[in-house]
Amino acid sequence: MAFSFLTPADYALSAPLILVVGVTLALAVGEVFGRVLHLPRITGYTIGGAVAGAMSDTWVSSSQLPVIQGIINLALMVLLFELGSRVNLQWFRHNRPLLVSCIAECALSFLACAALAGFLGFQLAQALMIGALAVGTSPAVVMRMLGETAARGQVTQRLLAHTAFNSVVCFVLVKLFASFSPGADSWFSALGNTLILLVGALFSGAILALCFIYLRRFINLADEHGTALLFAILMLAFFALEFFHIPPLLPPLLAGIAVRNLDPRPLVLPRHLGSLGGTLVILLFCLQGLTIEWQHIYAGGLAALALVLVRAAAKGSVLWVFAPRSGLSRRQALAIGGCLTPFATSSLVLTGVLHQAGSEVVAVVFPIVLSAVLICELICPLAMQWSLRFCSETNE
Amino acid sequence: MSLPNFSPSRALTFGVELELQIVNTFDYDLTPGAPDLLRVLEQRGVVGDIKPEMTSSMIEIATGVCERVDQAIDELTDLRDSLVDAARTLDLGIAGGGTHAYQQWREQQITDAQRYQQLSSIYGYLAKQFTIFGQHVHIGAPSADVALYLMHGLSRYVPHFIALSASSPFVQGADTGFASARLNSVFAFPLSGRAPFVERWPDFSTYFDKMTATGVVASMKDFYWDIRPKPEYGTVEVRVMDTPLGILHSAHIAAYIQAVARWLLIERPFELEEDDYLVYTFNRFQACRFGFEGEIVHPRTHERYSIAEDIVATLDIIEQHAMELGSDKALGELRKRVLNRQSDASWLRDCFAETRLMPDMVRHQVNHWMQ
Repeated sequence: MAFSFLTPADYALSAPLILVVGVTLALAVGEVFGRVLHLPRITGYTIGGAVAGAMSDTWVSSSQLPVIQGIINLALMVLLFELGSRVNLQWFRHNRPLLVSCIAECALSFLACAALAGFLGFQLAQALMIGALAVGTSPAVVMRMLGETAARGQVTQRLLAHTAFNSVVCFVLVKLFASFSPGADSWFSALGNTLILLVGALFSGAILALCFIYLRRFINLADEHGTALLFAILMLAFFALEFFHIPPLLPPLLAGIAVRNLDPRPLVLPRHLGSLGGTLVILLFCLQGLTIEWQHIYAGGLAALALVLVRAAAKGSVLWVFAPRSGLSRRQALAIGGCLTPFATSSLVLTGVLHQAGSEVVAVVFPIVLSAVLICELICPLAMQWSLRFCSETNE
Repeated sequence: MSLPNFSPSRALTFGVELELQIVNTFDYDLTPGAPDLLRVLEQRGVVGDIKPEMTSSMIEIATGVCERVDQAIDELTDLRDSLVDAARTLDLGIAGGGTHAYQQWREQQITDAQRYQQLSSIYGYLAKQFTIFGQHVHIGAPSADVALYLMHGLSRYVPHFIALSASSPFVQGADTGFASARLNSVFAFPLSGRAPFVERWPDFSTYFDKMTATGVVASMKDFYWDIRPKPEYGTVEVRVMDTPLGILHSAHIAAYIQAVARWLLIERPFELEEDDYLVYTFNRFQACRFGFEGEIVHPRTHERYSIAEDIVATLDIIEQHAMELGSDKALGELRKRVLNRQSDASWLRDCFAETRLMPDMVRHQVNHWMQ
């Protein structure tokens, strides 16, 4: 075991140092991936973090979990706000087949994955939860990969629209099915809980959006002073959401969408809200790797691989079918299908949404889902990189 | 390759080509949307001359052969509507203007076509810097010699065409102080500027053969002259204009060129002389730099006067010709703009002063062209 020379007394003092060493290892592997292998850095961060995590169970001490959770939540809020601010709702009005394809992509990936789970022997509630988790694409992976490859073009725009859409659907469905578990008082209260969450998210997202819109009149949010202020607001929002027990996923995403669509002026922000945001996002992937619990991965096995394949096929086939009507080429449809493969589940896990649900269902589906998530964390950034190059959306 | 035969066309017919900006609707930067737009237009069976340009953030629309300005306006309106519809399907914006205010040339992608890839290999980064947007107007000529006469005769009015269309004050995120900074990118090309002073087609053919023998040029497309003959179409092509911010103004400028050409052909108001070109680059610079406020020198009398005054004086002279062509109303609109010193360049500067955000200025630009 690494660092076994440390005595328990030393450990208490050295815990932050150990964490920093783990993160540094993950960052180093990420750089090797990016500079030497010309592969996505985030795959390197995750692999580096996962390997470091496997070498020792002392990387992350229980006392650090709230801090790590805070960093991760803040990084995800930055990414979700950024994602939301790229979604033009008018587009769905002008391109109805795009709207239909977004709905169909969510529906088919939900049904296909739930059916697969049923086939694999999961009970109905568990199968529905697996289906719900399969709907969402990881906003973190998508935003980071688009940033790293400086991608732009039709595939990029569609990818953002699909990711935002399926993330909203996924977050709502997961909350719904987690509440429907036997632990819930009744179906009525479960629906009520979901509705309260949704209203709370809408309300807090609207307040956040109004703050941004108001501030933009006086401050240039693109410069470092404005960006620092944006960060401060996001942190305030984070603490407020925590106080009201609202998961910090939907509000920043909805706030981003609202800012984009209520204020016609272009929202020009530095990527990931500048270097601080960028650092947080990189840390997110390192910490994600470090906190992987391998026993879940082993338990998932081949079933997880089947889940990944069925989900990818479901999303890809919908895009393929709707491609010509929505103005895409088949080539682009394939590329978007490839880019939509990362699971949003990691966001839900990391932000504690699933743990908060406290559901027995969640405990049962964890192994297969986490296994699938890891497969996607490793493979999907590569698939995204290839897909974006395949459609000449990266400036390489 | 030898010079193609000049295919005569009906005198004073005209056609308009507009190179347009394709932007995203997020930060309104240029985006490589031309292949997507062309695919959607093809799927919808849109009929019209819409084609790719040097980089994939550019797209060109062109009218057919027009006789009157109304016809050009109708055709441009149809093309715009089709393009706007396709752009909305793809969440893209289309804008006029001679330059995109803050695009980074190194981020542009050369269009995947043999000719553009070849130009990119010859001209290097200049090809990407050629992400600029111009209006070209073809004027029909019944013979090759008439085409050459028009080419040299219209050269005197190049400052007018530049000032009337000027819409490129911003380049790479900065106000250049120019009304039309687009042409500075064209001047970087080795075969830009004016055509040699030859008045007879056999002489022009001899010049062309000499140039092809040097290996410097392979076709007429390799000459980036301000005005050049287009033997295949039987026209002279005026290429100095920025793409205006709206299609109506584009059509009005084309009508002005048509009316000047009619006046030149019918009245032959002056004899052509090579010395007319002595002041050519100075006058052109004044138009690019100061627009309507530029001061030009008359090639014969050496008098100086403002470009705005000269345009108004020319409008007076060609009024009868404009009436014959049915373009007096269009030229009346131009006169108003000149008298009020309203140019697209000043519109952009005012817009930027108001919004204080270049992406927001481009958003207004997009709304203006797509409305």
